[in-house]
Amino acid sequence: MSNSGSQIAQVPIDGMCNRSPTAAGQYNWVSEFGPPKYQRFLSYSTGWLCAIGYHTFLASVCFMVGTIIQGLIIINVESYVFQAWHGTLLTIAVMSFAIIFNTVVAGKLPLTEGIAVIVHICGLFGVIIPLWVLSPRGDSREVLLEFTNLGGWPTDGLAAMIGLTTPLSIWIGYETPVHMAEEVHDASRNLPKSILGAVSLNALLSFLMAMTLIFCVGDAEAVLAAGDTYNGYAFLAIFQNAVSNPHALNMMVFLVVFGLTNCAISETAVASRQVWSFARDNGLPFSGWLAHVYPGQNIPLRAVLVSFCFTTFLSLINIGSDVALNAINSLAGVSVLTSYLISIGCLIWRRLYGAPLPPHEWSLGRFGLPINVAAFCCVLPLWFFAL
Amino acid sequence: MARVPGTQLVTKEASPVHSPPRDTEPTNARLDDVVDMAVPERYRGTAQDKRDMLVHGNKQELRRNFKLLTMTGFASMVVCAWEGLLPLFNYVLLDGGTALMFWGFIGVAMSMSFVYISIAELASM
Repeated sequence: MSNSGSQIAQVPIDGMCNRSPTAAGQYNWVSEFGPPKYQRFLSYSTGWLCAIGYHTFLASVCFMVGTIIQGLIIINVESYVFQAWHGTLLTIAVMSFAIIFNTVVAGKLPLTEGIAVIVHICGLFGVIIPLWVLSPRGDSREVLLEFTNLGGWPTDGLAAMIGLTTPLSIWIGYETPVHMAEEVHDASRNLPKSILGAVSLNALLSFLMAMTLIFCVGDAEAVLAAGDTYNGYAFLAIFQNAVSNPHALNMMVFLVVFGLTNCAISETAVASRQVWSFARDNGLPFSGWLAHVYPGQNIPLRAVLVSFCFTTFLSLINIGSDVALNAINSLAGVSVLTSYLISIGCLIWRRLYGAPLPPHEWSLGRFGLPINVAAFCCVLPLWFFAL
Repeated sequence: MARVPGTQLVTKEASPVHSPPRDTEPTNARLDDVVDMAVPERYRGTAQDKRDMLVHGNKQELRRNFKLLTMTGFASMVVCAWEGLLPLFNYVLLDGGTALMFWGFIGVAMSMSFVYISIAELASM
């Protein structure tokens, strides 16, 4: 890897060669590697898919935090009367909080993320250890081999495909450092490492969480029924079954809320950078206005404000119906997954039919094509069922 | 507008890159042109970063204040995998149950690993 640096320095840079990380991400890859005939259309669609995907994802995370807090209020305050618009207001509050971190203290974002990830790692043990110690343990044969179909789908297979969106959702979004490419020191070297580092770290953490949940869930139907009274969150019921002490329960839920709030903060950064970058390439209405960065400011302020407005409007849907909001939220995962598929598809096309790939810092060498094809073929069925 | 005139990203044709080295190697002065003067010196990135910005015709307007570890932290927080699993656990409990959570997680993890290895390669290009 260290040798490739000298080769890269020799690449002509008069605009003939278009290679290097930018905040653009997927739509840029598609425009570089896609078939010339379709690259314009594909790149434009990918840009829009990502812009919509990240913003709905942001709205979805803020909504989760808002309604988890509301669920916690339901548990703690017996006289509380549930109103859907309370959830909306909490969602907007979380969004505003994320905006403050992305405007007023934007310069301290790396520090914020550094602290957050430490709490993210340690917090996991703060949640799973009480569950391990205090929860009833499920029988391993039942837990690992018995598939259920409580949603009333005609076949178990169909139910399984629908349920697969849960593990899939937590595996979407690790490519987001790409959109921060213009804010990373030595980007072409650090981006691939940070993507794969985050994937490995979170794969481990979420696998521990998944194991804990499936063994500590107890009676699934009872938990789901109890979850319905807690704003629809079954995990609050699982926590409550394990720890009877309200302070311990609040602490555990706080760790989850803390993580998800930081998720909203970083997601705001990503969504605004993607929109800013797409506007810079004239992909959006009012591009010139959106792409402006006030000199000396570290953020594309106008893009951040657009993210705020979009999320606020989406969260208003909850007042009418949370089913509609959830349907829109599932759009987020699908649109980002589609952008992965298009990008990898274009990369495969380029490897097979196009000019040789530009030299790059982090290369898969001759394993590149098999891995790309494997990625495309494995994700296509997942994408189909997530749709 | 941040773009340097004369470049247009979306319409650019794929072009061979193994052309011989030319004498257009940027001088330091030309490299510094891509950086907005309002960005402090320590946040301007490496020479490679500046060269990358020049290739795309973009101007360095934001600060390069993330390093490898903070960026890994950032990527972890964007997905927030274990926290996100908790609110979503309802759906898998309803359709598929605990067994699907286990086997589905393993299947999805394997498929998505291929995707992120591919994307990591794309990200360094």
